[in-house]
Amino acid sequence: MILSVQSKILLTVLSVVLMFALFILFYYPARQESILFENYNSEIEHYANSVALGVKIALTEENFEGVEMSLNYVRNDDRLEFVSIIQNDSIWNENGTDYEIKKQVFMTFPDSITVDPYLTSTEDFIIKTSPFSTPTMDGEVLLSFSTKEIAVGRRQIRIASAIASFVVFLIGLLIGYWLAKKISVPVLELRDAANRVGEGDFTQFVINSSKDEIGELSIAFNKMVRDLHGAQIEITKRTEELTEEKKKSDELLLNILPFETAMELKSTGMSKAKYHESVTVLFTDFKDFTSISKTMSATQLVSELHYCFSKFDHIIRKYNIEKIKTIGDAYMCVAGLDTENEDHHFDVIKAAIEINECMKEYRREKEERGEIGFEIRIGIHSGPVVAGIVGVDKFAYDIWGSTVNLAARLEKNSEPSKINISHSLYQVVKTKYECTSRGKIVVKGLSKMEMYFVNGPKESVS
Amino acid sequence: MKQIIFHIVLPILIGLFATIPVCSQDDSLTVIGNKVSVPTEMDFKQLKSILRGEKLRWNDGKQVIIALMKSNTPIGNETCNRIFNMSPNELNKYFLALVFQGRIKAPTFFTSAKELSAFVAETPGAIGVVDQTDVSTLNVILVDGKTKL
Repeated sequence: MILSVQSKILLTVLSVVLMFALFILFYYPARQESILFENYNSEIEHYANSVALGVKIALTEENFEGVEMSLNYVRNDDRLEFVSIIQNDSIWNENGTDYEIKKQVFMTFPDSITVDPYLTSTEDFIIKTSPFSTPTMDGEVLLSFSTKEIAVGRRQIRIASAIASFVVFLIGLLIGYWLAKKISVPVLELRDAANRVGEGDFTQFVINSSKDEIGELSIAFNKMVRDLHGAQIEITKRTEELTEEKKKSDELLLNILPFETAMELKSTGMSKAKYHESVTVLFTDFKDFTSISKTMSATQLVSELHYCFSKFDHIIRKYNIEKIKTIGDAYMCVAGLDTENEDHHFDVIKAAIEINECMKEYRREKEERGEIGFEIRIGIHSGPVVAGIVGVDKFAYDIWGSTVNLAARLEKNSEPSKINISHSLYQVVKTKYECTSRGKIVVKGLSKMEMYFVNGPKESVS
Repeated sequence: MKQIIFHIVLPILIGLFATIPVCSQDDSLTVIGNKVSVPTEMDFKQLKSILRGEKLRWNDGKQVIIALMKSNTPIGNETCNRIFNMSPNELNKYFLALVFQGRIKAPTFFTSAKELSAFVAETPGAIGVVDQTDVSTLNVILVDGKTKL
């Protein structure tokens, strides 16, 4: 059983008080009764001695005043049972060599009582004897007093002790309760406040005006809560800053890497190159970029490229397409690295159409201003690739394989504002997109390759 | 000659002295009483009864106060014998028994008749026994019509 602080304090105080109360209840009355009994015995003995002395003087000096006076005291005492003069007679044997003392009652007051000269004390009365010796008579005064007064005295002592014991216990109980409450209440308040602080509530303060150790503990607790609160605010602020930084870092990472690769890199610190069975790779390029770029400054050129590629970025993001890189005026992206995306063929076609339309609008606006705008060529191919990160410094996510090369060839063999796709891709998208066959075209470094222009989505599909 | 005197005359002389009463030359007793309450005349039986403590109060209700000579005096011894018919020890035991039971006020014993007479004269209700008295402030009680017992 676990006792609370209040119970422990109360029990401690009560233990001490109980011991004191028991002392008052048992030891004190026993001691008082013993003293009472001793005093009573002493008083009776004194009476017996007085009477015996009086008897002796009366018989030797013929002066009866002493015995009369002492007997008046004895006779007027309500506790007196009887008082007797016992005469001791020496009875010699026939040879006169030995004798025995024979006691016989000479006189008793009151004379109605028959007294046994050999009587001894009992619970009901106390017998005291006092010897005397005179030429006339040898004997003893035998005095019997009732013990009723002792019994009454004992009862009074016990009642008084019981009342005193109860009062002491009651006072002790009240003091113990007050003390326990005085100590435990602030301790319990501290405990509750500490629990709430532990739950994150730093508004907890303990009010204790006492100057003792508990008061000091309360002050220390309040200071601790204030310090903790300050530390918590600081930690929260730092955490928010770290979270913000992490978010930026993650965004940056996700900006340059596919989600799965970024997660792998974050969790393991590295990323293995992965083989993807089917992805769709898109390449764009601007026709006559080199000659057009000569008509504008480098800053203007970069600004133009930035404008166009930013548009592309926005478009491909909508279709969950991963930008791989830009090389000069070329823009390369891929869809299908996410294994869950099985519609990557269509996503890339949609993005390509949108990019193409976007560039047509751009070019029209440029021409309206009398400027020369870039004309885009687009090439798309689907197939297997290996994707991953190479190197440890300034690493970049990239894809490798013949699919990439074929997509680049398709872009090279495309025409301005046209989307050139391979035969294999055509086989996938032809049900939804209107395409125009270009026949087999010779591709540099490869044999002839069948190509198709994507005109747009079929009407039923759109 | 000396031996004759020692063995014959001396015992005769001792015998003669031994026959002389120890108490006094005159072995008569006089009963005296205080002038208050104590009657001036009574018979011996009444006197005996009064001195034995059998009568506690006089006719007017006054307490009887007994005054006696100590038994080791000739008068006291004579009083024991002639009035109480007891030995001194028996008398002491007798009064002790009465006092013990609270039946009487204890008698007052004196060593001289003069003191006893003065006590009786000063104590109302007091009665005592002496050999003779010349105190005028007390009464000599006639016992059976006589002043001497």
